Amino acid sequence: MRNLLTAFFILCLLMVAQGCQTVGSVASIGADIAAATGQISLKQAESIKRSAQAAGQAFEEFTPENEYYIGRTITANILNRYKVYENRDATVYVNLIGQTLARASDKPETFNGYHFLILDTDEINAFAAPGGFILVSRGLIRCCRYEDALAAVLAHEVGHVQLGHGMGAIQAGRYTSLGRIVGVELAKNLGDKQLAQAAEVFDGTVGDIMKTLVDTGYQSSQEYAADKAAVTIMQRVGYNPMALKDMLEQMAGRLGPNSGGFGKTHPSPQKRLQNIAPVLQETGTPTIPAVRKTRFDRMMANI
Amino acid sequence: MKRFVAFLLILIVSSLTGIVSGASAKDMTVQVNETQLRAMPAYYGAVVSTVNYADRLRVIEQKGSWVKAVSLRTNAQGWVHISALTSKRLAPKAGAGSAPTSVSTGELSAAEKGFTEQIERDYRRKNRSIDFTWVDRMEQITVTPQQSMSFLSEGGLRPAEGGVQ
Repeated sequence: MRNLLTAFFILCLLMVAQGCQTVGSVASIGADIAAATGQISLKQAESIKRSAQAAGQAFEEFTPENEYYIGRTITANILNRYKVYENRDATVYVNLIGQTLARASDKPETFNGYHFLILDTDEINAFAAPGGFILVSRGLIRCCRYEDALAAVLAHEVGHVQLGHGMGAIQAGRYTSLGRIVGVELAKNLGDKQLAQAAEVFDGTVGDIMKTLVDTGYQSSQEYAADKAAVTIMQRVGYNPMALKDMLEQMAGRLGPNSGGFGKTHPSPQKRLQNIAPVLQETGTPTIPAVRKTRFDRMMANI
Repeated sequence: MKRFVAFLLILIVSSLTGIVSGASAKDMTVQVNETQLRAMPAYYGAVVSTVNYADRLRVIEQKGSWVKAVSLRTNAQGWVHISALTSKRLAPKAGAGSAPTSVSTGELSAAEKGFTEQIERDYRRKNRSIDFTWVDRMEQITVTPQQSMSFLSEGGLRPAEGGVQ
């Protein structure tokens, strides 16, 4: 016990020296290595890791490259459930709006940039996978009567990426398991045993995020935070944020009581409207210039 | 007691990386696949040079979310968005054109060694029904800052930069 207390004291000193996040992972991995090499018991390692976790959340330690590979696999899994809407003009248009908005966000740089696709389904749904892979359904786009409303939908999804919500769905234990595997084996390319172990953690990580994106949804507070981020991003490029209100009102009219997609995973449009109202108060009624209305109608004619 | 001392040593050695990088806090690493150094702190500024994953940059000044920095590999100087950088050290990809690095594998973050291309290859081998074709295709759809700029001005909108406001 005295040993543990001393270890904790030193941990605190290191936190002062280096900042909390780094120490969280360093101590965690240090504890894993020590446990794996038999220097301390597993119980001791767990105890040190618990104090380390208070210092830094596990998901913050994943690099953008990790996010990218997780995001690719998540996207492939979602596309295994939905067909892609193969309309070149519509896809290019959604990417023009989406990538332009992403550039105005607080996190314009991901490992390989933001990319958008449309899902060929009537279901009202959208997914933002880590790394900036964003999928929106035809059903959701039909809730948008003009470009600014579509911008609101896309900015909300960029908001989820910017705020790290997808990565936040990963159970904290995954990272420490990963640390235990590769912290011992220092080779860049994993050997068979380490690969099998890392693959298992990867499967678990993908499972955590899929479950959140497809079944349970984010916490309501995260949805409200993404709405708020969307308003900020829209304002930065000059889109009228009142379009978010219009889009949510349209959605409220279209979303049935037993709808899947957003009906299952998101707070109701009414609740979102209520929550975003104070932010929108000063921004007035949306007036959409004809040029934006025209290009939206042209590109989205068949949606 | 001996075990405890051994553990402490490991803890301190593991921490050393962080302390060393803390001492040269003005150096940062590119953490995205590729990005540009620009003449102005804005995406619409002219491109001075391209920097790659794991390139080390020396920070000269910061303005909002933009950092003016010099590439320690090419000596090119320009502005880059802070979200492209990390204070950690990263190892260059195999086959990348970067100069040899002094980073040893021991200094890499655990996660960096974890979920990489090797894991995706393994995942695809085991999950043949999961098709990555459209994931690859969507990554090809790239809007340049110039295209963003034209799109915005044509729509009566204005360019903006993340975080600068």
